[in-house]
Amino acid sequence: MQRFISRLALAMASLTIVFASCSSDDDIDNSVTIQFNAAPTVSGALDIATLQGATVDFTDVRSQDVKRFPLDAEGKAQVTINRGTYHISIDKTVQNAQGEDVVISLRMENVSVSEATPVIQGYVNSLPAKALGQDFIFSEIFFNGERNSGRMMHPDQYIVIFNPTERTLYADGVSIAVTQHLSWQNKQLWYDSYYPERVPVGGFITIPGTGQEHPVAPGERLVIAFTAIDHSAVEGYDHAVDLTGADFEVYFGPESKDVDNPDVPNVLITENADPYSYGFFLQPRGYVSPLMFRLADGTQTTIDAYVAANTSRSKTHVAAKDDTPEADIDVTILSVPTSTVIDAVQTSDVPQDVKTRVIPEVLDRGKFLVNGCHRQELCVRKVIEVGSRTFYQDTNNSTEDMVMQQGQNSFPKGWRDK
Amino acid sequence: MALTAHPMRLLATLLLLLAALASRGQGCAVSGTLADDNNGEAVGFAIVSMEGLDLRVQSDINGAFAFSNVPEGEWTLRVECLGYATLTRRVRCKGNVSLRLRLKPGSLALPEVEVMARSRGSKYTVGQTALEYIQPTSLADVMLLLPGSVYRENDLTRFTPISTRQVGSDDNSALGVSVMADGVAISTDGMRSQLVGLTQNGGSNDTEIAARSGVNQGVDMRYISTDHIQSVDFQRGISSARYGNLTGGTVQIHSKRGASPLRARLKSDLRTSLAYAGKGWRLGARGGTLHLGVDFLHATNDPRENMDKFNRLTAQAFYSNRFRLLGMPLDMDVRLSQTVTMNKMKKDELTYEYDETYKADYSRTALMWKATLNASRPWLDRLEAVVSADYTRDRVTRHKMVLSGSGPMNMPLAWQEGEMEGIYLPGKYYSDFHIDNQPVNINVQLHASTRFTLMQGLGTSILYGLEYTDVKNHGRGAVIDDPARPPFPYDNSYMRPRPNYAIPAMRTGAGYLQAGLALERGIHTLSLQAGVRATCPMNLPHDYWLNHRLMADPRLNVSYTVGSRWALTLRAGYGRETKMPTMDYLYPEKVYKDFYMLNAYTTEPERRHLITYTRIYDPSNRRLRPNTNNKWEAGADLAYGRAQLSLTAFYERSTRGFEYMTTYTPATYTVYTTLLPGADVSGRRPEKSDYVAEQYSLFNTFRRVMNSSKVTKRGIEYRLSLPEIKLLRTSVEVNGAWYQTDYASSLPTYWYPAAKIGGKEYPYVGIYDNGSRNRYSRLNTNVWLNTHIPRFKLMLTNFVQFVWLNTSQYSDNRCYDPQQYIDFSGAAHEVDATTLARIESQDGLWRYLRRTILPINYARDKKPVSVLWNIKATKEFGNGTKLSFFVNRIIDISPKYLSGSRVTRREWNDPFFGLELYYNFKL
Repeated sequence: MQRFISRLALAMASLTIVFASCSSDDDIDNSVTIQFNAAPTVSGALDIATLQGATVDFTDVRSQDVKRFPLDAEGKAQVTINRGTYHISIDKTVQNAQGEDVVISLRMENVSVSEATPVIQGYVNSLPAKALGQDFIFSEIFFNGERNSGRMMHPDQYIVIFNPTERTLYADGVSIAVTQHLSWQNKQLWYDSYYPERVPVGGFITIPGTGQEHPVAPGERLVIAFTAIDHSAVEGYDHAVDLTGADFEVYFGPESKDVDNPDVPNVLITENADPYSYGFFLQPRGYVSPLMFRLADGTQTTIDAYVAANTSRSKTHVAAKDDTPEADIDVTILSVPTSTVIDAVQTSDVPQDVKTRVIPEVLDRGKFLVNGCHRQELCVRKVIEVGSRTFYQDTNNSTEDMVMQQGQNSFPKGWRDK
Repeated sequence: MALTAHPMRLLATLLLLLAALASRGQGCAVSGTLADDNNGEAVGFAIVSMEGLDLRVQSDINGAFAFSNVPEGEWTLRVECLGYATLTRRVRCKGNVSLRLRLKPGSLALPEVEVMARSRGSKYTVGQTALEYIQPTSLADVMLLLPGSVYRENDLTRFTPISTRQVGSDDNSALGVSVMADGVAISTDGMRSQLVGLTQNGGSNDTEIAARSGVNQGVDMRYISTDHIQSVDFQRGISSARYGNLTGGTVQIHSKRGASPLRARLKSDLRTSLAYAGKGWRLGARGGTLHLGVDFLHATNDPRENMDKFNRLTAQAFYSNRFRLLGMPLDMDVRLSQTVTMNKMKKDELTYEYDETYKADYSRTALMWKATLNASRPWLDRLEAVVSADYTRDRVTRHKMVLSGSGPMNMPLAWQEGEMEGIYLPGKYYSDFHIDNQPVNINVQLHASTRFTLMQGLGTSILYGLEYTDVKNHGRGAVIDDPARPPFPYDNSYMRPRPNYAIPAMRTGAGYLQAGLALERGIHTLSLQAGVRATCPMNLPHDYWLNHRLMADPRLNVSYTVGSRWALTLRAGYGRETKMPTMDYLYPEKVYKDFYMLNAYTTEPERRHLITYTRIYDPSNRRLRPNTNNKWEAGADLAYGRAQLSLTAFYERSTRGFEYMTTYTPATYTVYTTLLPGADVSGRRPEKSDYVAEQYSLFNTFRRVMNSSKVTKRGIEYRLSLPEIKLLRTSVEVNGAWYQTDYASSLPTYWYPAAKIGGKEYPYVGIYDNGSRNRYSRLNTNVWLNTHIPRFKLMLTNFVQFVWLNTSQYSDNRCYDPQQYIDFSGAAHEVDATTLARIESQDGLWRYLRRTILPINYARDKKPVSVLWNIKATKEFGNGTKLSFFVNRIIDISPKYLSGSRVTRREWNDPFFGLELYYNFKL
């Protein structure tokens, strides 16, 4: 009996531990009052009083509940919310002196709100409400991939760029990069030394040419395929498309599990292979985001000079902790100046959302999310029909500008004539 | 060679010297008879042993046994016989001792029942009562009784390597544990699995096969049924010189033998069902005994998932008899055993869709003959001959879908180096292949012992013997049904596997000599065993370092005991143990690598043009040596009556473990990628002449087995065993260990930055003296509370496991810059000051060789204290029928924690329960 009692006591004690660890904390008052201050990113670029009456939105990352707080003439707001992690945003469209619409916006992802942060400082940008249409834009980005014979793969990824201007543009030297930072990661050590002025990239592709070899008429598109073959003709590829009509192909070289279509010219590939850089690729969940910029021409000499001029080393000294040694973390980074980017789309997927913004807000204050990988979800720009011509919406806000199309498009040989 | 041969010569001289002394004196003679306590009938074919003296005889049909030349002193005599409770008796040996012993049938009604392992030094023995009480499905379950073991679920649909005195497990430690059945090692050395995708030589890996097969990882414990085992010894310390080809100690299985009534066992739990029946017959007055047993096991990993299953059928016949040869008793044992297993997978939803299957059929037939002549002569105490042969048929069959995720790939065609026209593989196809292993192991052993008393109280024994093993694989090896449909085409590396029967037999000769001294002076006893074992592999290719190489392993164990009622034993040992490489390590297949020269693919098949360039790489390592483990051990045992406290500290270091190393070899060939200016290939097949011919260089990798794996084991094992607390009717055992295990490699780190510089492959591979090491530490306490109520024939066990400390940490030299580098010439160059400056600068080419090191990689992963509670109970009914029940993880507290890599983790397992019935028929 004594033994039984002692055993029962042990069991009870154990269960108490188990239950104690599961106790609910719903009843505890979790709210905290903090102050939010909005200030212009570039001092003096914006009269902060124009924000009066606008709201600052706090979106709870876990529940997606949104709480709105009005901003006063000094751009301040008293915020009383539960402790937690929030996305913070401001959006207000105003007219500038020239009578053009200007969007005043702010995006802050994954901000921790607690007593430890009594004041949150946010920097707002003023952006034109409509992109001016001076150079190429992305009209389709297929990074998501599909399932072929039930297996997940993405052999037929492609990118379509569009000439939204009223003149012929030359594609020579047009380069498409992908971000080095992944959108699901927490901010890397080097993030603040580069963003938002520069965008570190894993690599980029460049359309070859000395300057005027590849003209693209107004309203015309250019297709860049990762592998420009008829994927739908490959045995077992029941959800893949024909990309033989692509204008350019990304051929990674002889030992890269890739084939080369001799009928489609190859782009030039530049990759940063320093540690913690992943090169040029499209991640099926959109964790790397594409951005476009232009080089003077598409020659290797120009590329080499560009790489040399835009490579820098981020040095961080980390002090020793209990179980980790001190270290110098040196990462060599290739980055593109934000001011030279002609289009960019902040991508990611629904489960991870955008933990860290890898495309600066001035380039894209929105985001395009796929539901998951290999679901044939195509990122395509909203079409605006102007008479018989097709144009695309571009307000530097991909939440509004990009829509998801189920199923990728096919670009067989001679697709332009069909 | 001179160094290794020297101790042999020395010992041979010593042996002659001692043999000459042998005639000087005799020890005492111990003889006796064994009878059934119930009916007084003689008990034949029981094993009678003298603890600590390496004396072991079998009783004859009349229950008589005899030892001669027993050193004077007080020794423990132990009698074990199937169906009877183990009997131990302290015997004072002086002159002639005669004993009449009565054995009681094993029952929970007896006041004492042995359900734990018993230890002597670092050797642990699990007897038949304990073996039944554990309710095991395989030998792996029995190992929980050993100090330092932690409970884990036994998944029979997967291969789990044996782990010994370590945290975690590694291939070399598992390979180095010698599992022996009745003195003959169960060898897996003849298994060979050479195919890209299976061998670690290739890039891709078949995870379905890797999870289920253990080539180069020692004995698969799932194949060993515990139902044919009478007792099992675990020696994790310094092995006797009698045993070789091991690095991690021995597991000695003693088969069930002798006469016994028909006994049946039924076991069922969430994952396994098991049925066993066994009976021993007495074959007339002179016919000896025959014991037969059959068991069947069916296991799944998940009761909801019956497409992944493991079935095992085993049967064993054990014949024992005693004859007389020239007036001397001759014990003869013959064992025939058969194991058939089938592991079949046709698993998840995806596999259904693909119609992929995995099937492993295994069959092992083993025949052993052992004769022991108890000569009891001054110059020859005992002579033992063992001849054993076994034949295994192991066939893994796979039906696998190959679906390229990146477009068409190249079909392997080349049988020689050079350029050739290629063919594209279809994007999707099924590949059928099988791996056929049919090793035949032949083992012949001859052992002799001489015992004599040098002077009053000083007993001496000399053990010596020879062993010869022959391992030949008669299987077909890896066979791909259609070579044009390879199962693992992903990186254009292929093997053209030779059949296993084309590999020469591995033959090994070994000899040993071990001298033992036992000195007794009053309450002081000193004992010493010093031996050496020499091994010589034969029949290897003449250019192999190992061929005809004589290697010697010294072994030493010393112990000193003082006291009688209170007894303190201090012991120490040193030994070197050696494990030979397996056939798979010795005879790897060549790797054929196809590089793409021209790779033009269009929709129209007639316009496609593939030209490849093939290089052949030979990964065999002719310098391969055996793995050696140097072991030190020291311990203390304090005994008071039946209470015992033991502490054992050990240090083991093996520095030449087998490990695959990635070898970087440059290759230069011509590629045709850039079309010539103005070339128009539209409407026709592109030719080499349409392209700019460019020299292309890259580093190809393949893997070669090296002697570089380093494992260092440190630890302190403890065990406290208390006799029954009368009030609670509970005996307590507390055991556990602190283990610290380092896994490292003596190879430098090779690092290749996969950068393309101006469209070319990066031209250097950096070599870093990195000294990386993973250190694991664990401290555990296992508590067994065995409550025994003889009146109700009831046994109840509470098992509580505490893991106090469980950490892992990575460390290295934090080497940012290489010491050497390899370029496209294949030559290694030292990194001089100029090169180092370039590497540390922003140089567009060299900077890639500077590595980025993150402090987080060095963070310590520390799991919180975890507690686990299992219970089991056995109730015995009339005629010895037993009903048992167990619940594992009735409580499992494994709190969540923040790992070293700053990820929140939690280990979670469900409770697990089952039932078992033992039934004794009166047949």
